Amino acid sequence: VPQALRAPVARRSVLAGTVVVLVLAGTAAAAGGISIGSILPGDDTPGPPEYRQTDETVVALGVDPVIGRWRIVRYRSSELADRGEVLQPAGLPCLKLTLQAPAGGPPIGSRSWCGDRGQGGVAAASLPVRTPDGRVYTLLFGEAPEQAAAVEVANSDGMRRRVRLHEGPAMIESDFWMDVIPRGEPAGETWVEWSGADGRRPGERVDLTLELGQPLTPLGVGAG
Amino acid sequence: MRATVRSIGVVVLCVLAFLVAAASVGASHKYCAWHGDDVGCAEIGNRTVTSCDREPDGHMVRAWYIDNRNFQEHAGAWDMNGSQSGCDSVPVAPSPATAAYVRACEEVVGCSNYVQHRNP
Repeated sequence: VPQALRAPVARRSVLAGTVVVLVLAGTAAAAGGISIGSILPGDDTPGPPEYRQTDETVVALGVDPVIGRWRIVRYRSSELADRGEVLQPAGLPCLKLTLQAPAGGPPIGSRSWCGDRGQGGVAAASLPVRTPDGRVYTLLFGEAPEQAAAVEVANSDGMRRRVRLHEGPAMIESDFWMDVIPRGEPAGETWVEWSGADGRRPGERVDLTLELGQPLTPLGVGAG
Repeated sequence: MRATVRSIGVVVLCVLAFLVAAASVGASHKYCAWHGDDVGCAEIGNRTVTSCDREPDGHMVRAWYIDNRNFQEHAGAWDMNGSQSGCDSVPVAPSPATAAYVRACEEVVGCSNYVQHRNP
């Protein structure tokens, strides 16, 4: 590299590095100082969705124009028992999507599950939301194997929608994803599947037909 | 001496009151409806509704509940991993309502009756 070009290149590198640091700092600030890998300590104060029985690890987070701030956390289940039977043992891996209030207030909604999903590491669930103008969207979220290069929502009509993958913390061997889609899309038989870097789909999928066809009551978001 | 006995009595009463209160909180912490071996529960102060599919029959399971604020019926989450270990949960809507009634439903097959939360 000619000497005359070295200084500007170095300056550009420093500038680019500074921009990256500022963007990361801005993201962390927007998330209330919480970043990927942050541990949210558990407490015993009832009152979901802010309630945390055990420590939670932040595995993905972001800001969406429709739903605002969101985050996905990993935690371990507490035992759930009734009539002397254990319905859910303690210690299972759990995943939770939480929607955060715009002004740092308590979370406004969540959806969670515990247990291995058994579809080769790909997992999915939904949370419908209604915006102040009455539009209804479906939040789809889940996890995918570390080797996944892409996750797609697909249906029997040939629709394929590629969702953005979020790299989880180094200590968790999974990637995570979240997507916001208008209610009613996709329709019919619907599933989620992943593909590797070579584009090959191992055929491991999660059926979302019932989840999207008979959804939860939409959660109000975006007010205030 | 009398003051000491009185102090001990007060302490014992306080401990008893605490134990009764703790038992009450525990009793109101969770209640469930069963449909066969499938279960829907209101837990964590009845502010979360959890669906547990425990029958390996291929039928999906979800809890339904009626909130204590508007007394409207709401669908809970489907237990998305079927009868494998683990359940799915959602907070009761509208926040900060609690679940006054809960039932468990199995796709195609049917539902349990609604079970009402009873204050201890």
